[in-house]
Amino acid sequence: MAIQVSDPTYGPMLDPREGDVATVRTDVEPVRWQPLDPGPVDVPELVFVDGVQQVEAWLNITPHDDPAPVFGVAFAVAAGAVVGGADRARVDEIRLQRVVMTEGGRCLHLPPSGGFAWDTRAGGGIDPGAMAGRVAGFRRDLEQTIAEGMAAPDRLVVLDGRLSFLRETRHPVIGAVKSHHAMYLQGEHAGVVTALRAGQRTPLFAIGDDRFGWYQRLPNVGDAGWAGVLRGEVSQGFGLAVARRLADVAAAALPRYAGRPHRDPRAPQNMQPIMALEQRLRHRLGDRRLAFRAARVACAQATLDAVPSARPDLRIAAA
Amino acid sequence: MTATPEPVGVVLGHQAASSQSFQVGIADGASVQVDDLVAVRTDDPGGPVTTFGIVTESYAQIEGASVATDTMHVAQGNMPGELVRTADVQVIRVDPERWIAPYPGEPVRLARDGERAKALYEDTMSRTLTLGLGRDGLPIQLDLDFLDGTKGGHVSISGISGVATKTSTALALVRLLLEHAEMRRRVRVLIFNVKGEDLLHIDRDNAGYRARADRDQLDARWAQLGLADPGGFPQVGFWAPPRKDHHGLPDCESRLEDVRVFGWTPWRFVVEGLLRFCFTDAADMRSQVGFLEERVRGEMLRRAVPVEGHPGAVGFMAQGVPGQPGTRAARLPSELATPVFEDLDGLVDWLVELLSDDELVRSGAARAWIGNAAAGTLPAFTRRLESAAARLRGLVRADAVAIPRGDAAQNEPPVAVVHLTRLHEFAQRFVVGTLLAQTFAAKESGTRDPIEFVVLDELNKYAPREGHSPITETLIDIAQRGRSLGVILVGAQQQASLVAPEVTQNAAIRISGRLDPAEAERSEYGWLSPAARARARLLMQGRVMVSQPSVPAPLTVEIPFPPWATTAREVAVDDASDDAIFSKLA
Repeated sequence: MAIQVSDPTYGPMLDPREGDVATVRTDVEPVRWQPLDPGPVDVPELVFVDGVQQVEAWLNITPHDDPAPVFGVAFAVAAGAVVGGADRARVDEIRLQRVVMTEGGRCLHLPPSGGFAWDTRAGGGIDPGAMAGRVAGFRRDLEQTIAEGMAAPDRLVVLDGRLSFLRETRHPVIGAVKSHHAMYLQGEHAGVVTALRAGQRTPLFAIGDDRFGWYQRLPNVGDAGWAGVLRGEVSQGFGLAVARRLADVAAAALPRYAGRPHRDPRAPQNMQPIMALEQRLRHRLGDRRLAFRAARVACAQATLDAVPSARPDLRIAAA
Repeated sequence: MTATPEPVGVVLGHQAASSQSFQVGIADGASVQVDDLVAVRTDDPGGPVTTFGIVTESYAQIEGASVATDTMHVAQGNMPGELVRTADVQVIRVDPERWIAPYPGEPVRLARDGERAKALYEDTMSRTLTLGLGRDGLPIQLDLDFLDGTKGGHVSISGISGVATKTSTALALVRLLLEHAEMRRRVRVLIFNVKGEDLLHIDRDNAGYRARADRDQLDARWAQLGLADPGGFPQVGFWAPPRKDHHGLPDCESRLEDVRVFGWTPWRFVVEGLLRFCFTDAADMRSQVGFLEERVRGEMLRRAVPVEGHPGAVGFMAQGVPGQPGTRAARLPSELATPVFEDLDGLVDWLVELLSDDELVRSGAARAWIGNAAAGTLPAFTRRLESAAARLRGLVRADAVAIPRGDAAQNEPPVAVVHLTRLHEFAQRFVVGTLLAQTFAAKESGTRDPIEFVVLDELNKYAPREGHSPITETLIDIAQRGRSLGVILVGAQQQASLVAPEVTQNAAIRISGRLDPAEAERSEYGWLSPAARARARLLMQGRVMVSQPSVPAPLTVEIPFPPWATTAREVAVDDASDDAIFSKLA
């Protein structure tokens, strides 16, 4: 067996965008379409959940029994949570996972090397884009695991990114989306977004039949256009009343955590706990160059399953 | 040995640890402070090595904060950040001696008991003196071999005034030496009092000490240092110059009883060549005046004889007298070529008259006294001589009692305090120069024991960096040869940079109290690490940093509050003599 290991710095794009084709309804909340002030709300304990991913090596495997190459990837994902108390924000939980994944059914086993160890997965299609999508899937699974673990009746879990993959939870979870690749509102409704002041939100709108969404504006970058606008999402499973309350809580509580533009190019939507958590997670993933070297060394002693096998259960490293 | 103590942290590896220094990440709930002694065991493939170190700096940081406002946001709870405490450690020993870096991740523990002794090299010291307490409250040992001259000697103490450094440390050192089982009978101490009358009361208990609420703890701490019965110095002889108006009375205010008046007879003045200590100005040494002084001194010595019926006085014969001056027979006044000199004034008047006589000088009759001195040198010389006589008035007279040195001091108390404060600076130099020379001369011709400790503050005045003088030479001589002869200099100064380097560099034991920040940066303090220098600006009262050859890092030592009176005001009131003193002061 021969394995060609390439530096992922020169690899294909890793962060595929996902289109959202759901229909949007704006007649959800029985209010006039205009910027809303959340009014006085009881702010529960906020928990911010986020994850990072890092592709560390692309593998091109030529089995000894088959001249057709098998494509593979060695990568690591990490996710964690920050609990924002009244006077202290602390990182509560961090989980890491390092995986070597091959297309098709034959698993590649890498021995531990230089302090790095890999779980083994196989399956999926053959193009690099699909592979990258699966890496992102691993990250989202980890984020979801943590979000579910952290959720509680007296807490609001704020997940960085869209909710679309999240299963129903009994306890409050919202998604906070920074980028606005997809426009959910048109015309005069979009005008309400640009009219928002910091701390205000739009009325709720329904995205498909599973989520409610709203826009809200964070401080620190002015009130013009789409600056500082964040999109919130919550599952329709909570019902309209709860959803409205959670949107109010988000509109009232999140400005405190808004990112600072001199500190973070994605401010203010990339909130401070998220930024600090991502830094920590990337750090904990370890040095990408060292991981690449370790993968190269490990590949020299790798074994490839002779026959397709069932996916082994993943081990998730708790930090 | 006791069980290995709990680790206080781990060796950090984000920057390389070295065999010289490393960083410790301090564990939650553990506390590590500057000066703590730590130990790390490393299982090196070549065999296990224990690294001992001393904490030189302590840090606290928010990990994850990269700009200043991050910390403020962390404090407000908007951003997570973790408090991380670390410490710098300077390695002082590896055991066995294999110089490897401790491995990052290895647990670091405080060095206690046997490990502490090892870290402080106590196992390499055959004889020790406890000087004070470390920051952990336990005794710090000095290697006696490097104090008493066996392997090294001399102590140099630096520090600004007023924070109980120089005098307090020197006195504590002396006091503990006098209590030391082996040394107590081998020690003689000469202390010069150059500030107020502070040292004229060290034989009395300190009222402030007695009144301290923590008296019991202080007693216990002194007991740890070997002083079982803290109080005034047990046996001290006090010496003061004579009063101007009454030569029989000591020139001091706060204490009169048990203070003896010192001076020198004209005979000893001539025989010991003390004239040289009247020309101690750096300018004198550069000019012809120095040569002329040497000539006059020699000529006096050649012709001097004691005088029958005038003990202590000196007279000169017309010609040189054969034989050692000490063995010369006394002559009748009528046999002399000069009057009988009962004090310095008479002698100087006569000399000035001789050297000012133009006829004698021109005719060459005074050639023996003046040699080929240039015409301008003579008036310069006589002017100095006259001012010297005026300033030394009373110190040189026929009925004076000299402070016994050498064998003559056998029956004296082991400690002699010489009061200099009220003397003119010129006279102070004369007294110090004379006593140092006498002490050294007695040792040169005598035995090494008992060891003479000389405590001298304001060393920069007596052995300045610039210029030469007989005192500087004596001090350099003591610094270079004294330890083998049995003279140990305990010198103190505010600024070591102003003292002749030969004197400070020969000190085996270097002590620093609080330093002036500019002074601390000078090369004279190279024995302090950069961290220790920064530290020297912040030393509290009674804390000093001590460096000794046996331990390769300066240690912070605390000297407890002194149980002896360090000023007249501190004298404990139930001392019998006190009422009398205070009524005089009132």
